[in-house]
Amino acid sequence: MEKSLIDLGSKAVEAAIKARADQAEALLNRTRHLTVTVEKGSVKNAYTVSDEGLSVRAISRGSVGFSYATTLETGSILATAKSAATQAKAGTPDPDFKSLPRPKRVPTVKGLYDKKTAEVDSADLLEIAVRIAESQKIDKRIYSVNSAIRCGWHQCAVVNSLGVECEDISTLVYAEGEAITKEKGEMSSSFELKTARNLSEIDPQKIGRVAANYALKSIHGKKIETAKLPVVLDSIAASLIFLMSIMPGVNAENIQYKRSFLCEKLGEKVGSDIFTAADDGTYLGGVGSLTFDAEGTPSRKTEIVRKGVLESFIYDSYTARKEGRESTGNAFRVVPGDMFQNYRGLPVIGVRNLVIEPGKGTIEDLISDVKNGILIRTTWDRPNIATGEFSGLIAEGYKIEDGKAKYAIRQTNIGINMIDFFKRIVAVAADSRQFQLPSRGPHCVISPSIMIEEAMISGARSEK
Amino acid sequence: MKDLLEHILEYGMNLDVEFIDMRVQDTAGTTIRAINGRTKQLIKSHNKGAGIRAFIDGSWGFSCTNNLDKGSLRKTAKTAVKMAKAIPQKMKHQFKLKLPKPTVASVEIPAKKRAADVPIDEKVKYVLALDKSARESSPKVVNTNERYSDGTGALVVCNSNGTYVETRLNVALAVVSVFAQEGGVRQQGFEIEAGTGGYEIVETERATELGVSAAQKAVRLLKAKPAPAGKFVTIMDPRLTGVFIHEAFGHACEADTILAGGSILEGKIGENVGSDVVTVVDDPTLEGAFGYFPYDSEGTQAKRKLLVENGVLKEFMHNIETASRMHVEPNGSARAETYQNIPIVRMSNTYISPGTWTFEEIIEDTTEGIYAMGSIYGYVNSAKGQFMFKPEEAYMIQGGELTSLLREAAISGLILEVLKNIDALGKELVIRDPGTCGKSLQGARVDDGGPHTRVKEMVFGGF
Repeated sequence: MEKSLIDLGSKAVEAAIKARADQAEALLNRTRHLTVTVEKGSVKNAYTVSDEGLSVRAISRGSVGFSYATTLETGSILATAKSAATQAKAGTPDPDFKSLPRPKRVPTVKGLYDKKTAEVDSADLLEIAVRIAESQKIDKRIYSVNSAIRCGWHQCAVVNSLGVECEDISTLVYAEGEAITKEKGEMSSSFELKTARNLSEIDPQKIGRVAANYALKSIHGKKIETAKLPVVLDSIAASLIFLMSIMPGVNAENIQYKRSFLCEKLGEKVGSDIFTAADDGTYLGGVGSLTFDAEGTPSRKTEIVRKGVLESFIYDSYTARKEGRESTGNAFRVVPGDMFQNYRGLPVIGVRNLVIEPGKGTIEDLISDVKNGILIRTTWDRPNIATGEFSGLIAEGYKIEDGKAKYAIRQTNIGINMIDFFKRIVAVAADSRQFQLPSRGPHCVISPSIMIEEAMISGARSEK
Repeated sequence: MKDLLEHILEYGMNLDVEFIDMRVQDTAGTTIRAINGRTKQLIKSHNKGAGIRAFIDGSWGFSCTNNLDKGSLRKTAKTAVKMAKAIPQKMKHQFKLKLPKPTVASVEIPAKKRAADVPIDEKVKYVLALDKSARESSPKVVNTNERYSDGTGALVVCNSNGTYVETRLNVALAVVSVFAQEGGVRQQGFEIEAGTGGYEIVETERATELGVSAAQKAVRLLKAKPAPAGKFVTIMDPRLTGVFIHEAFGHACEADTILAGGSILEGKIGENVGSDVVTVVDDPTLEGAFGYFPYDSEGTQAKRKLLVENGVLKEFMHNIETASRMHVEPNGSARAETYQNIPIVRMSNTYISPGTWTFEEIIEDTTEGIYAMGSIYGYVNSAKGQFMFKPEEAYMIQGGELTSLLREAAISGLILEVLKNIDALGKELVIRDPGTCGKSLQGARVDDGGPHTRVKEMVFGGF
């Protein structure tokens, strides 16, 4: 019988206090995930990863020590707690540290866990992964089909010396398909992905077809001329840009230390009237939802931008207490590549489910309004957080002419300041979807497609 | 330990598979973060566990555990075999592994001063000194951030073919990020020093001046103009040349990507892919460099690889699987980030070999263009054949002279065009751009570099 994480956490906290920490906290995980990968249509790997461990945070005169170990064995728990207390004592005092969070009632959040997803076996996942790949083979120009599916089960508990004791059990599934095209020596590729709490939300045919259709559409990309153009961003591109700009931009640590382009902008207009964004840690079925954050603060909803006005930043307990306010429940422990809170991760502030308020219509409606412009499906870039300037490659994009996405573009970049980006949002569709990418951690964005009035588009083709 | 691991391999092989290998890790590390003159966090980490891989008929099963007792390891081996066997024959691309001769070795990454032996107080002192020097550099500095990390411990790779390699790890790094402000303008400067070795890595003059140089960069950039948009002749400093070659060419030479049908370089060995001044090397044997390793994560001895020689594509990077399938010898490019990961094909220290020009000659010879320096990050899509990377700062070049300072901008290029457009390479080779490269959700410590490099045209994502 596995021991209760809360009991083990209490032991760790007790040991840290005994080692003369002023306050202490333990974050404990048990995780399992099952992954299948398909390469060029054949199954390449089937694997399972089980992990358990804890990290202990000990405070001494405001100095914070952490220690983690990849085990939940009692002897190691005590040693880890002691080590955290030792680390804390070696640091400098921090008078800004007031206290770890006090216990508060956590909300009920439905849809975090699905039994079938937690107990899925490798045969079922193999089937789904192969179906994603198979459904990409819709044209003889499709040269290679790759896919992957990962199903995870996660148990996370936070215990602290002020009486916080909370535990969540959740499931997650991530599926992706990549289609590669080849014709007359030219290659291209595209992808589709889906994350959900519940395996039943994964539609392998849909993932495969979307990836294949975009891969076919993106073949024979053209170079274009440099120009200022209107830009339509599909839900994936919009989510990536919002995640990489809003998340660091409104992170209270970045604000307090004067790192962010959104410093001194609270209460000011930073976006157009149709731009509203909130962070919601309780969003139903949201892959960023849990009942509490990495410090045991209850999940909640925080309005970030309302009709273009910057309403709030996002806080953990340290940054909140510095301003004499409540934490917004945005503390995370992030390890790149892991979509769950991870005891190995450094504590950071991040969005849970960043929800962009939808408007109306579809992406086709947005495109049909553009005479000459660009459609972006993917950019992996991030803005400079200090200046707010975004300069990136359009990793997958199309030229829009006369209301239609006509052809793929290559070696084309985009440059725009993020505040201009927010202010130039002239249309918002109603096609929101959840977006979460393992490489970007456990943060989720729920955004529709949007249109930007104008951005600098630089191309490799010479002006005539 | 060795007896136990050999027992587990034998136990796994008796479950009727073709090949089994195992990675066992027992490493510890210290991280210290400071902000504005105070420590923010002091972190002690301990990672211990084993990952086991089983191969049957073209597919791999994998499982891992955090417990190194006999019972847990046997259970993990059994699960790995079960996973491999769960894959039906009809779902597989079948092939046989061609195993290289077994390697037996025990090595330590050389360290003059093992980080584990240095007291925490001394490390805290170093971090706070960096912070102080950054803050005192200029009144325009508004925020200073430092991170020091080290790692030590043992990594064992062993397999059912008799390979048993133990590597004792020593690695250290320090990074500083400084924010400066003047009026409404805000800027960031970043510096890093990292290498394989001991605490001596952060005791060099360069490492103790990271704070000052990051602060100077942030302050300097306050006066920088936005980069223009469009096509430009581009001269890159050695650091940017490094990230350029890593993204523009290195990834497309990874044989696992080739076999997945995802690289535009498939089938191009022996073909001309660049101008004849271009030679590209990936060399994990450069002791001290951040991407150094003596043996890879499959136990194959690391070796220098000539990816491109005088413009001709010569070699890809391989692990045991890709080498078997492409009928070549594995060349030591398999790397797994931790025991929880499957080894995949990775770069190490990647660079362009130097040419004959002095830096001054290159600039004087350039009527109009951009001189770009430092690197922030980059990425590539090897199937589409396009890549991007970002310099930290740049200068306009007008009439053979450096003029105005520019801010960061994304630079993009096409894999099959860009090496052909290199028309000048500097004399001096510098490999110093340590960082972490991400692929298939795994990070790998890498380094890169080259000489000053001129490319006839690249696209700037300016404003």
